[in-house]
Amino acid sequence: MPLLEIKNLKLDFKQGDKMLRAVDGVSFSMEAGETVCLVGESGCGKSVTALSIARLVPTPPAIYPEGEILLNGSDVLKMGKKELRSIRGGIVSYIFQDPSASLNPVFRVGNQIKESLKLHRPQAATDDEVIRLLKLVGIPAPESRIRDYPHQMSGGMQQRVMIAMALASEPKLLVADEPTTALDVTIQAQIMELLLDLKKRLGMSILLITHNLGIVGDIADRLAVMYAGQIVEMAPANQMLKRPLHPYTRSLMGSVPKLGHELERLNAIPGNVPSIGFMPTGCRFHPRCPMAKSDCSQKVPELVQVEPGHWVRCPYWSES
Amino acid sequence: MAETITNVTAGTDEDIVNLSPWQIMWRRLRQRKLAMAGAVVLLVLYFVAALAGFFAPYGYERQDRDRFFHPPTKIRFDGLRPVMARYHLTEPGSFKYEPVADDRKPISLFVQGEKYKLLGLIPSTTHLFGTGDEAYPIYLLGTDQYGRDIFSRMLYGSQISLSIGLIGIILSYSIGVFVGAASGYYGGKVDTLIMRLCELIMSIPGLYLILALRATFPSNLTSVQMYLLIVVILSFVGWASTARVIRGMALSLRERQYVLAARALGQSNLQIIIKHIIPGTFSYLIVGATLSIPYYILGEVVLSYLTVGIQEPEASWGNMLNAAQNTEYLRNYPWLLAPGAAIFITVLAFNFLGDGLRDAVDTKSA
Repeated sequence: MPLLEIKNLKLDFKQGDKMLRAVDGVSFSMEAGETVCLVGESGCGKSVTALSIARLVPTPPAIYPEGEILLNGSDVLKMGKKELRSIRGGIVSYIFQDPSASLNPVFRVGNQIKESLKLHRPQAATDDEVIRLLKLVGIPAPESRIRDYPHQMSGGMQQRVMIAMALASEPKLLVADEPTTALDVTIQAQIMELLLDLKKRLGMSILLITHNLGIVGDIADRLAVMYAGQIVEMAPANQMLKRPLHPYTRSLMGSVPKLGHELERLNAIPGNVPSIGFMPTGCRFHPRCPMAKSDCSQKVPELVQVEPGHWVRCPYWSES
Repeated sequence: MAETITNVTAGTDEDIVNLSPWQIMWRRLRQRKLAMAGAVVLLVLYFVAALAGFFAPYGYERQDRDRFFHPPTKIRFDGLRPVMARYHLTEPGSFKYEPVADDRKPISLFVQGEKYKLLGLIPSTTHLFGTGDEAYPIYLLGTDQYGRDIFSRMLYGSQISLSIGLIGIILSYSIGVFVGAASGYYGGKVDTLIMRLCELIMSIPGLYLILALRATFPSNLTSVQMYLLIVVILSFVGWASTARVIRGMALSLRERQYVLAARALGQSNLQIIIKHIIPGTFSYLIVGATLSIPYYILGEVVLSYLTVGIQEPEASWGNMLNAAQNTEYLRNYPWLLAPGAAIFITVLAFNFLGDGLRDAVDTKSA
């Protein structure tokens, strides 16, 4: 049984009388110990998909018309309040984009980590355990750092505290929602290295959400690329990075500048992500697609397996 | 692996002082002279109120039937020694007194006098000052129409008037903060319902509501019951405005990422409200509470002034001013207004302190 199995997840936001579909039929699964990366532009639905795993999207305005999210075999979408609270932190923990906003500015970081312990491992809610966790995430002199306020720490340190807090409850799945976007490049590398190290040592699964293709190669086992609320391509990481098949994935990778290559201008994908209320007919990517055919605006493409473990939502994937 | 991670983290900043938000606030408050003056005045007032029996030369019920409307006793210095004159009645009809020449008595400290209970517990007969002689009474602020010492009554009255503010604030802010935070955090129908209720309470003129509430209770209550009733009535009227402000703050606080992070950790709504929403409103609460205490002090004054508050012979600043309704009295015996001065000083001190606190918690001000 996979640790997480999302089946045909659909998520609507109610706005006035209209229903706006933010996630449209997303399916994927994660095994224990596996690292999956969800990649996509802003507004493609990757964050709400991730937040849905612990039902953290407020309902209303959100509605789940269809789909299942099986976490350890039980459907999160059918859980009551109590069950939800026990899986939040207990099975799945989150770290978010901006660590300075994720920590409460008025409490000392040690106490905030202890809160997490009190909720899920009350017998371990001691200073010693907090110090051990801070050591685990590589914070120097944790004995004195537990009495710090968040503002006394740098962004990288704050994110380490957030990771310590997420790990305190010993989750099976860590969802990292753009964990390095708010940090500068050198700190990004350190945090990614830390996540990789923790994954190896603790054997947990990581679902990494990012729009930064530069960081996924080292950490991810599998990649899923999302566009306009749908998964357009999913494959083992090295396979996709070597040979992307969907035109969107290809454009996305083409827009990452490479060291040592002279560039006149950055390659950008023309156009914008379609707005949630105005989805194009047929293939959602066709208005921006460099190899769009005449029937792309009519035929809705399906996600099909083209090689073992490699899924693509484009009938013309082989023409490249 | 772990070592490399340790080595690459940013160097710790040793010189950042590890101050809590409270310590920072206290530092900034100390620099504000007016606020500190207000704080000192309040400390003195509350200290004296707590030990009223010791500081007051007489009990609040003691009547001197020979000396109605006695003017404030003048104190002179015989060398370094304070002395007071005995007064005699020159015009019995209009209560005019004159000091008797060469009939003086030295004032001494720690004299024995009437029995009282210090802090309501320790029985004692020692008073801070006095003459120790019934024939030479000392009335620092004169006496009222029943011959009672206004100074002593003011001290006893301050116990009621000053504590009513604190208890009232605690009561109304606990209701207001909790209801407001829940209203803002949950939003939707709960929010609409609570806010309309607040507006309903706020739309009724305060004084009418207070009088109407007062009228629903019997008038023959003991002084303790009356005291509690006043606090409850004032808090019932006062919580709505607090709830509205806190609700507004909760609306913005609930969108913070640390609230989402707390939910992601599995904290319940109640825990989030208590641990993450309400602490975020503390900076407003401290200032708001300090600036609202005068409302309760004045509320008691109004009720007692209208004779539906603290009942005679119990003393409060409000019911002492009740005697000052009579213009005849006011013209001839202006010392009856002394409790008004006490109210003025207290309210001003709270406002100075509140202003200072507002600057101290506001990180944007210099």
